[in-house]
Amino acid sequence: MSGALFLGWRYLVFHKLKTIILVASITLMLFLPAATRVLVNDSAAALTSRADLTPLVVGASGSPLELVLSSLYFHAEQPPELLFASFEELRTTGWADVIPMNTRFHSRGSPIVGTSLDYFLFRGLELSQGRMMGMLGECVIGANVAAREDVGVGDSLVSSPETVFDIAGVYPLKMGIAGVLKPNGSADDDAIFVDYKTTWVIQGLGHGHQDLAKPAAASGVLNRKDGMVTANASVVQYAEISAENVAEFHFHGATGDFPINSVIVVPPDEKSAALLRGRYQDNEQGMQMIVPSSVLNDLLDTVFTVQNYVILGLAILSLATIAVISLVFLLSQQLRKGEFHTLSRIGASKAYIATLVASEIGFVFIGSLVLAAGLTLVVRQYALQILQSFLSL
Amino acid sequence: MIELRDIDFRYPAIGGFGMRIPGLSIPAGECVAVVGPSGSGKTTLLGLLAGTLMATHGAVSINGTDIGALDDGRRRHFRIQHIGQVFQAFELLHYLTVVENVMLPHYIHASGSDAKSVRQRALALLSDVGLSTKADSRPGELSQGEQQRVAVCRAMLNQPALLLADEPTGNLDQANKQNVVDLLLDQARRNSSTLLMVTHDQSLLGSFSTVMDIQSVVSVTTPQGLETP
Repeated sequence: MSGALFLGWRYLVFHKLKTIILVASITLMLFLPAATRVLVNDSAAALTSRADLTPLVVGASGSPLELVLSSLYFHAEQPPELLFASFEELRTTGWADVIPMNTRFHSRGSPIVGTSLDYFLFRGLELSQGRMMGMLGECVIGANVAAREDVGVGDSLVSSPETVFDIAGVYPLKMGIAGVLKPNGSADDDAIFVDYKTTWVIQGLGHGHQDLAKPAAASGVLNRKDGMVTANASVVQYAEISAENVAEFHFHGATGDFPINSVIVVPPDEKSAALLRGRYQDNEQGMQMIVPSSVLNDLLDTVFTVQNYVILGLAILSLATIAVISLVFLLSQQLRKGEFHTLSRIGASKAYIATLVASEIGFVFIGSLVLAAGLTLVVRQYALQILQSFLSL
Repeated sequence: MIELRDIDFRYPAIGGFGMRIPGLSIPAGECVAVVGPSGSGKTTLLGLLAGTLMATHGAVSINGTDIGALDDGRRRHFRIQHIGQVFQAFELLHYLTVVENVMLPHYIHASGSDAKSVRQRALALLSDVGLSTKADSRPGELSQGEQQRVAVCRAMLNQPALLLADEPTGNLDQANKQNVVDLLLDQARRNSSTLLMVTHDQSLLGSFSTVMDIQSVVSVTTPQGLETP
């Protein structure tokens, strides 16, 4: 019967276009539902695993989902701002470890995450080179950022201005890279971490310039009166924080009024968590405390429902495809009656001819199955990147 | 020796119609042209000899083997091994190369021969008929005369004891007709095969040692049992 397989194979090879169309149709029929399921399941697993490890998040009232996406995945439309005083207030309760998060800024498409060193301990992030940021203006970058930008310790990155037309707005800040993180397959790989105070410098709430008390800055001083100094535009503003000029950087105003986006709250036990959640129930200060896993589960319930409808639709399409493919095979058999008659006259049995036809169908289905499985594996391999690209839309 | 004894055959699709052959013997190695009007049973005779049609009564013996006594599988294997057939419309498979078409009987039933030696034999046959350079071409790239030569090679692959050709020149021009007949005769003589070739073309009969008028050996039966010579 190996001769029948050979003839079947030769038939398919000769009719390349027909074979390619059949294989492509069946591959799509198998691949689309499988890829949808893999993508949704893997994405759900990736999303929930990070959310499950984040007990509580506090942010300004608004969309809980936006708050989760900005705090955990650093992707969201601009979430409402929270006063830094809220973070201080939470910390003074002593009911939980608290980590400030400020994710408003970017550098060449990578999110700049203003946080504290506690974040690295909380996420279990490790360095592959260098050290943690130790000074205002320094950053630690994720593995993907290092690879994408081809930078490492000793290099620097510049924050992107929010708008090129706002000359009075956010100035680009050159940030020295102090360390590079090991990859951990999460949003951290694509982030640039700085101290939360550095984000305030980026925002223009803090700045550094020549010491106006020194003679070198005398030409820039317009007026000195009652301890107030008025300077002109010739005073040198620093666009990079270094060991030499870090002392010249300062903030105007009370830091409690400065913005962050959210606070990751890590209570030591259920009781503390319950106390904290009660505190933010019906909060009248325009704040909310959310459980990220609950927010994502609500989202995923909707996603899974949509997925089921999509798969149902694909199943109906698959039935139509199978019907068309069956018709193609049946018509093909009609056209090949003469060929089968010749084979029979030479000595082929009905079983031989059935094997010939079955081998053709088998080759097409096996080829399609292998292709669909390969494509599904590729989707699984890149599920996280696909998810992140969706999130960044 | 090819022998048909007391054959009675009924066409299943034409209720009651059939043919009767009281007796027919053809010595081994004989080259016979079978002639007769349309519907007189020439193709049926070849079908009975090939074992693709089965007599309701009587025996068909090819070199001592009663093919009617064989079960379906053995009869098919016997046909592949011992009977070569050439058809009017060549009936080559368009998706196989020329040499693969010649090897078709091997693909249907390998019978222990390895593909390499069978391919060598097929190439030698193609070389004999002047088609060695076309071995890897498709049938569609060949002229009709060339296609029929390939069909002859296919029929000769297993060096059959019996070579049956059903109007093999029917689709060919005059020059190619004689070429194909010469080729069939040459191949039959080389292999000591018995050749039966059905033809309507009187101009080809001179090449054969025996010309058999089908009406002299076959009588057609009707549903009423009447027989016409």
